[in-house]
Amino acid sequence: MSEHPSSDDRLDELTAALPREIAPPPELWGSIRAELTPRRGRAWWASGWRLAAAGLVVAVSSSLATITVMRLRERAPMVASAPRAAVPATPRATEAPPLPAQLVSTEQQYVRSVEALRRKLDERRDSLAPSTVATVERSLRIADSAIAEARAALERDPSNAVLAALFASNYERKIDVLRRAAELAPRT
Amino acid sequence: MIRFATRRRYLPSARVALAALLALATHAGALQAQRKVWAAYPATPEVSVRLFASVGAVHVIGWDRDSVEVSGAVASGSKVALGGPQTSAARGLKLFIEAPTEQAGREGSLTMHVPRRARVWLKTGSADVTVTDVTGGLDVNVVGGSISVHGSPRELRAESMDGSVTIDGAPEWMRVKTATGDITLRGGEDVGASTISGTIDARGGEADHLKLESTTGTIRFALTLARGATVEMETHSGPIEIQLPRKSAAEIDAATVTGQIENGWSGIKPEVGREGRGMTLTTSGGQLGGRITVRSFKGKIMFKAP
Repeated sequence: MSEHPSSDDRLDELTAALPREIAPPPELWGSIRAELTPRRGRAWWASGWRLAAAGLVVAVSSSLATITVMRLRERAPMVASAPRAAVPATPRATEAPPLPAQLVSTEQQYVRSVEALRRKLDERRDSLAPSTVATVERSLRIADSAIAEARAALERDPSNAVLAALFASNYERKIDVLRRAAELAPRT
Repeated sequence: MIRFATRRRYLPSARVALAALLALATHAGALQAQRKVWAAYPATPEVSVRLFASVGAVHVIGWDRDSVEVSGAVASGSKVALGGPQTSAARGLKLFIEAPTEQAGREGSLTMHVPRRARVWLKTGSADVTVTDVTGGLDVNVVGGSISVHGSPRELRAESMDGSVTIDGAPEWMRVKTATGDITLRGGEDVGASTISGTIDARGGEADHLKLESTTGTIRFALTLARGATVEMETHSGPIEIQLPRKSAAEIDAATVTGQIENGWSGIKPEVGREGRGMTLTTSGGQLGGRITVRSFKGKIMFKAP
């Protein structure tokens, strides 16, 4: 038990004054990527800054993706149009997808976030309870299935703004589960 | 015959007695394997308390005293860092209990009293967390346990992986997230709830600014709308059930990609999408009647009146 030092109090005040959401400038990307270079052999708890950097990547990616989707939404009419066929598939972002360049870029940002968090989770997998890992993996499979289904539909109807927004939301929920799993304490 | 009958009559009783003795011994062993903890500190009314506790249950209670008190029993062998006595009112406290094994982390329970306006940050594994009468900030993170919040914290963040989250107050600001756990809430001023496959149930209160989203989980909305409310609901494949008063002046904007929309609330018929798949439903309402936006890939959207 210890009382917070005065610097903590000052930090609390400054933190409370911050806005809840902020979109970091794009020029930060280079340094963020450099900070994300994997370093193995350290305990997870000794690398809190790496989790923080991953969180920042997620925040930046989400912000950029949201901006992209919002712009797309502004350009497209807000009426749901039916895809010709919504065939579930599991394409990877690295394949050449028949999506508009804007959506491809958005997806690549999401994929980078997913991969960074997935690496963190894999490093910590052995320290987590098997039941927790099973829950996380089950949720990720559900999210992947939804992403694939929305993506396949988008390939057939790339101007559908409702679909684009749902596609982005599926990724954001998946990233959120990964982020939370990567931050779990050992043996939980 | 008599001896045989006697043996048949008494043998089950003997087994029951033996089983009871074994159960008692096991229970006694479990009790012996736990260690009592108690600590108390003078604290400011808005003290920040951070508690990491791997125990079976945690109960946080807001009270009208300027002190923090922690009591309960934890698995023996746990690392306990509750600190020493304080001479002045603490503005920040960090409490830590780590069990030696995952199984041990499911044992024992803690009760923590805090000033009502305290800011509480609580992280645990499989504990069932109950928070009562805390009006300050609250941040609860569990993996497998449940979260129940009674009362209306000013700010509330509750995250669980597969445990359920129940909020029976109306916090000013609230964010709830689960992976597979169910979420039950009663509204609030600025509310967000998100799940992958859990159910979201919003009923019994008022919605101001609210967003509910799921991937496959069911979403049920039966809140009253505040003046000028904005409500968004979104799912990939879960059904969305929306209950509105028949005379509600809400403006509706609902769209699916391939899912159906049923309108049992008003006489307006949903329209089928351009190529025969997906549906939309739009209605206009009064300026202060609130706006409800619903999006679904293939989950069914149902509007109904009470």
